[in-house]
Amino acid sequence: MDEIITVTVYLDSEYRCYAEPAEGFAPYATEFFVGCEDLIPRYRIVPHGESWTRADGAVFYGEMIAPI
Amino acid sequence: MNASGRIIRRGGAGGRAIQYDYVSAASYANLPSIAEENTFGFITTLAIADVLIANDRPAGRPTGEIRVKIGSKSLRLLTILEDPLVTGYVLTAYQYNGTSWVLLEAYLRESATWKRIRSEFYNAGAVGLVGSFSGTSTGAANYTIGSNTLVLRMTTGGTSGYARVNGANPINVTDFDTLKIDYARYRGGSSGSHKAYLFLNPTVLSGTNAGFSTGVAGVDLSTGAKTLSLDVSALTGLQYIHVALGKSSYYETDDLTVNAIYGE
Repeated sequence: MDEIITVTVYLDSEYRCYAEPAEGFAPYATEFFVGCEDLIPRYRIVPHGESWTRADGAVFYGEMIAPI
Repeated sequence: MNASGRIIRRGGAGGRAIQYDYVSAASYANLPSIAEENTFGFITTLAIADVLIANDRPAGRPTGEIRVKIGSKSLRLLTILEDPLVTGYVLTAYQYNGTSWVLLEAYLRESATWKRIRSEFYNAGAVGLVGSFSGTSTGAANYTIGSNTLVLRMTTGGTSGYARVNGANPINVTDFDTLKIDYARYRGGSSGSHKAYLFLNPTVLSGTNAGFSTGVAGVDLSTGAKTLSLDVSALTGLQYIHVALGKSSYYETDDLTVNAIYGE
């Protein structure tokens, strides 16, 4: 089986992606940004098993990857 | 109850009032069985302060105000007055709860029935707005565009496979905030590397196994029968809807049945 290449991003409490770690951020490995790391700060990733509630009350379950 | 607005001709008085009726109920079952055409049916327990046809949703509005968004294309055509004076495709209805705007379950009365306000792309065999669905498969996989469902399958014929269905035409995601999918997915085991996604991309993407690209935005279709949502509120322009299923190891089966895809 081919080796899976991933990029580790860091998620804040609203699941917004950052390229660098910071206090309170959770690391998350994903294939999505391989070769396009410049897109990291423009995305939100809700991990598997977690959910995020948008301001209008809509709930999104992970894994979901969407632009901010 | 009803709300009204007025269209004033430029440079002076005149114009005509536009009227659109609405009712509210705690659930779909509680909507009245008799209502005029073009009546809105809002599912809410919060008292309605006003109903506006407006695409913006500013903060600080009166609690209970509803704003109905009109867009370039949906399946719900609102016609106001008999001429008709105004028509518009209804996309969403939001209500201000004093803190934020909340997406409502909403209906429009058409042909003596309540029709859900949303942009339907696929609903139990009925294809809307994307024109049609097409598909492809490779390896131990197949797909079926059936009369009532879209089905993608990983078979026992090999350890690698990919199946995809996609809209024949792209959709303009600028008009709605959420893409939803009703589906059921069942795996024959849990050892293999499998992936199932609903995703969007400006071009149609291909794949060969579970390593397929998930475009510019996507949501994992985990096993079970459920409705999942993809946040597209920050996405604009024309995007192709994809539903893809792939595997990269083991002979396990994996069946994905799509019942509906729609935007709200």
